[in-house]
Amino acid sequence: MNVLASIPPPLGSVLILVLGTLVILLLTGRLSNSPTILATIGVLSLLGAALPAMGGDALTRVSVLGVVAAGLVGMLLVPSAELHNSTQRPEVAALILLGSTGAIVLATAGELLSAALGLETLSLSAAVLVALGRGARPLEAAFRYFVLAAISFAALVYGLGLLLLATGSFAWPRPGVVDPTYSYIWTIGVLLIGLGFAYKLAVFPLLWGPLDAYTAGAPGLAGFVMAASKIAAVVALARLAAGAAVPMAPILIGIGLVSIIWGTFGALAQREVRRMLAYSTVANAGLMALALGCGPEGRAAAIFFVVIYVLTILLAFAAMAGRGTGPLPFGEVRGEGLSATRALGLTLALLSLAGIPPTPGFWAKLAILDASWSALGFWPTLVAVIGGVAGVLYYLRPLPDLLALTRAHVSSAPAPAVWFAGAAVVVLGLAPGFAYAVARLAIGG
Amino acid sequence: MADYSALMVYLALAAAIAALLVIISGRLSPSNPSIAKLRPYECGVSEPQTTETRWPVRFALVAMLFLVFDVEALFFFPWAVLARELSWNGLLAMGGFFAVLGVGYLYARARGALTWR
Amino acid sequence: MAATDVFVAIVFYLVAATMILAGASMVLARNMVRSALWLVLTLAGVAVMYVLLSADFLAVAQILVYVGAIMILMLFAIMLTPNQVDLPSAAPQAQRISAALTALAVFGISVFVMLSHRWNVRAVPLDAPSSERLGVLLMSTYVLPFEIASLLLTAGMIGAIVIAREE
Repeated sequence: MNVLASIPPPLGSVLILVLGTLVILLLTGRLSNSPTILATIGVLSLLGAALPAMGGDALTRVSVLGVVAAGLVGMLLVPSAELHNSTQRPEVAALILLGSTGAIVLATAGELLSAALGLETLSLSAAVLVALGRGARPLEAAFRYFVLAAISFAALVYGLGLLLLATGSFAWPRPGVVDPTYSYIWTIGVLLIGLGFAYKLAVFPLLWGPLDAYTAGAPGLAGFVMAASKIAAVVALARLAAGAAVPMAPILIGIGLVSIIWGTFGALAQREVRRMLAYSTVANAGLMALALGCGPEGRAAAIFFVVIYVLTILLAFAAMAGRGTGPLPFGEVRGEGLSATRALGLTLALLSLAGIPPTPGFWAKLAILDASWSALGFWPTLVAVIGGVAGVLYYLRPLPDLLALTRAHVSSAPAPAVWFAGAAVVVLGLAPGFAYAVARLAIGG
Repeated sequence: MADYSALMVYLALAAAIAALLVIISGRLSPSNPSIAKLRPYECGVSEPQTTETRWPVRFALVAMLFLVFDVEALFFFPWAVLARELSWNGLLAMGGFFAVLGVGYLYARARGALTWR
Repeated sequence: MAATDVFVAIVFYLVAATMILAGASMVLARNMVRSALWLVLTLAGVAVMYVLLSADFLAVAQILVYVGAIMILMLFAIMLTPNQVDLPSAAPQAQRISAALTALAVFGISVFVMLSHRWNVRAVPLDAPSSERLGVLLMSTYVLPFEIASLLLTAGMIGAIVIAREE
């Protein structure tokens, strides 16, 4: 019992997730044809992984709970996931658990070597999850995602080497510990590590792989990939920016602003929901990057934002799950035959993404604008505001059709993932202050 | 560098033998080529197709699995040289590593990835 | 200067020259299979460098994993896609330019680091086998990354199996 009590919290979560993975892998043959039992095992391991984290610090709690929420939505959608080969459901469940493990390790690791390995575990699981979607498009998108992930991972490992050379350890960078002789090597190292983390956030120059992956994968799995990657990337970048504000903050602000502009124009040009969501995620990643560069207040706002954003996007993807991997054009939403629950879920998600009060998305955007205003002043905040207002234009385009669908009585299978993610969004909308307080604790403010 | 002298001698010998074989067979054999002799099959039917055909993807699968287990085997070396000193902690660490990949191996068998179809 | 120093210096310059030659040939070769074989030579040179640095475990790892397994994988991958990837100048202009810029940036950073770092130069070549110390580190300080590596390998194995299944 003493041994169990002495395991630090994220490690306990990781152990439970690994156990779940191993059980699923051992029973692969038997679980291939019983998706409900499979999903139950997966959900139980994820819930089990959330428990030890409750004893940890705020950073651990935010990271583990966020990743577990992403995993839960993905896992609830496993039985209905649009796979190329439906006997491969056990692998999907195992990869969701492995990806969650990687994301938790990336966000909470005590040193950068573990974080790097966690990131690569997440990337690999994510690429395979995308590849397993039905049709030829997911495979191609996954390949592109994986190649770009490998390149950014190479940059990260190179940066890790430079950091090791400059400081002699794999510890997270801290201000004021580096020998002035090595400050250039240290700076390049930190920037390359930041590049590796930023790929998971999908900000401006590193977005082609994620963009395709979010668009082409099976919705439930793409939602998981997106959510787990973003939450881990924001926490990791926040820790990096806290320790190395000098090279990181201006770069984050710069790529944040470019991403907001680029993602907004990209999303405005789209004609279908999934690609619009993929482009708008770049704009939102830009908002988070901008906030990450704005000191402790900004980092708290970014973590607050990512928790809300991730749950909202999970709701959107969960609502679209089960209808195939193809695009969902704006004009054809009404004919899609979404059930009232799904249409309502998608409506709530889009309202929150657009930042309409009193949805949680409103509070998330407000926190970021507030941090940006007090740290950077007028012009950068104006760009962020314009990006947010333009969001209303593209997010709300399918809304009339969706509202019509909520009145039409289309019967469909129960959608536990929609209920779960929807409940989470509603709770966050009712108590945003609590989430913000936890986010502030997480960054040590 | 004394430890590596045997390795160096071995490498030098290997290079010398390889070079010797090529040189001797090149010097001693008479050479008067003709078109018929230069074809892959000097007698019998000519080759039905080029060698540049598409290989089945299972070759890549085998190579990938080989890579995974090769890396796993590699990690045994630093543990093995110190197995006694590392004692139970080392055994636990190695056991955890081995257990995960051992389950991976059972999974690969269950999926028939190790059988040649 | 001792005899071993001269020997080490000769081996270093010979191998370094071979590696540069092989690396350039790998990039310039028109045939993918030849490129891959030049890469084998380059990676084998890295293994010799590890031996010179007294990093015995890394030398073995380099031979086993890179020269062995990864090159086999690479050759199979080339043979899976005949006449598709070995077309001369198949890469578009923009891709070539960005590849050249990336290579230049890596080269620049590496040269800068080599010149600006205060290296601990020792009078005698390092002559302590590193496997033991590596083992201790892997089983104590870096036990967590070590275990996560097994998860990474498992994810890779699952990925290979599910994507390569022909049905």
